[in-house]
Amino acid sequence: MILRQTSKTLFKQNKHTFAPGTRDYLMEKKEVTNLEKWQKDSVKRDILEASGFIVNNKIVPPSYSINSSGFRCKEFNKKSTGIVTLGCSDTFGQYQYLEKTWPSILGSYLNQEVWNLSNPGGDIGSNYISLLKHSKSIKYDKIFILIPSPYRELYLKKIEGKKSGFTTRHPLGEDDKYYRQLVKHYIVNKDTFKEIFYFNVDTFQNNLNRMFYINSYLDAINGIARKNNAKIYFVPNITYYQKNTVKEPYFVKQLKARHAPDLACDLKHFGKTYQKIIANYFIKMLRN
Amino acid sequence: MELLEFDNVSFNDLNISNLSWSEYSRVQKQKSFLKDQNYRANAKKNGFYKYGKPYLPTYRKNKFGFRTDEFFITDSFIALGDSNTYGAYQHEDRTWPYYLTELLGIKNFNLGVPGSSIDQCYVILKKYIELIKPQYVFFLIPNLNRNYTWLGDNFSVYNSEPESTFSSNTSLKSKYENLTLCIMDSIELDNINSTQHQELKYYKYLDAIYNVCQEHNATLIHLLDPSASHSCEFKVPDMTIDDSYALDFKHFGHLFMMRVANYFFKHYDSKTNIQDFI
Repeated sequence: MILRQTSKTLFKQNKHTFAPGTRDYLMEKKEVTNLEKWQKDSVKRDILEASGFIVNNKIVPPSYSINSSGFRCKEFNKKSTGIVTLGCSDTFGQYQYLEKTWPSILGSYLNQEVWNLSNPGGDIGSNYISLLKHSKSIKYDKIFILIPSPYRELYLKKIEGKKSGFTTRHPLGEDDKYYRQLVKHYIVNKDTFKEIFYFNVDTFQNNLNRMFYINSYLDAINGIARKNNAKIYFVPNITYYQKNTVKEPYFVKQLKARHAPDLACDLKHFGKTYQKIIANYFIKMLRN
Repeated sequence: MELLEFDNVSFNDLNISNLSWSEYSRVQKQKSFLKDQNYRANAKKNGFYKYGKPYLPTYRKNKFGFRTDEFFITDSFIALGDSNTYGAYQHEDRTWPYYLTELLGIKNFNLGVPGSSIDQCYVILKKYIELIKPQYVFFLIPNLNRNYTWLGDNFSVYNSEPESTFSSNTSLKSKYENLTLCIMDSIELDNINSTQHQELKYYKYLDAIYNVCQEHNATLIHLLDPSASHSCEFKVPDMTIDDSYALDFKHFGHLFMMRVANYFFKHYDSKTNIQDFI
């Protein structure tokens, strides 16, 4: 008896920050221009140097090798048992060399292939969809999650003339694309817009709401893990500590990473030290 | 698996909608059905008359509000779902959990809640499975166009019926303009009626429920309710549903309940569980 058909839309959705199959994706021209500008600024140059982006007095920006499914890892295969890593840009390793990212460090430590299914701007919901879609194309025995910001959530984006699809919204920012879509599709006047915005701010700052959102996805991801006899390890991203969202002071000592002298080469994302701390945190979990 | 601990909140703080369904209003409603001759004919045909007199369903509640015995640990199964599991406008001994107990020979704990959604069922299971430690969880998946929606201070089941909406919520009405709440209703309805949203919920919550079951060494057997009008393209088993009705002439009757019980009985020991379908 067939209980259900293969999903018609969810599995066909293919929305990625980087186009699938793009080899050695370089940073955008604007970003490279920024880097060149920063090189002339002594403070920023020092940070770039400490972060390892200046080699022989020259800036060497990282490049991304993207597989045909849109992820920063090898083409999916089932030749050997690897690990899956999930998260947002910090896990993708945006503005960072591949070998300095925590998935890569962890993969080298375990001597296993890394299936990095994270996407920049992603949230735990988009992580679940990626795992659901690709779980059958790879072999893995562990899933590591650096849980993205709790202030993000999946929403169904309507695209004019095209089928709608899931993307991530950041409702705490008034200029988020989600609000632009609301104005476009529901003709929201200024007062109504403000009210909806405040409703969302209250919603996203409520721990009960966030607890349910994050933990229901963690249960779902673990459900997939169990079917593949894989184990799951997770740690919340640093954004969870900034507003006292979570109870346990996970790796509090490592919070020092916030003051680490190095950053990614956009000078916004945390740098190689933070990446190493996360990798070490997972390694410690494995040893225990 | 331990979940992420948040400050001062846990699954126990999550609201279960319709758990305190008023027995008084239900009994009044049942009596009013019999004033209409069509309802009366339906009642006579489907076992709601005994010795020429109305024989109406009664509803008991355990201390948590469920139509079942107080929870304890024994050889048992949990029945999870909405009114078709609870047995709205139906005698308790004509519900599928009751029939399934007769087939399996083990006790049932009926955690069905009228109007429940797939996400609320996950919350119910999560909250109470530890008190029951069942061998099996049988899940009659409710209509996928219901959502467990945040209404400002807690979650509640949201569907297309007017009383569940933002614009009908008393607490929200005191804080927001009616126009705002109507727009929020449009956004929510567009969302929950979309195929993608329903698909995501289906996969996500079945995976989550599967995980909860595995954590408690229970086997999950599920069935997408063939009597619900799912607006997305899921195939459900061929099953005759409309040859008997409950007292409200809306819910399907004891013959449908029997078929659901038989379906679960047929599949409880086979390997036809969730993992075969993903």
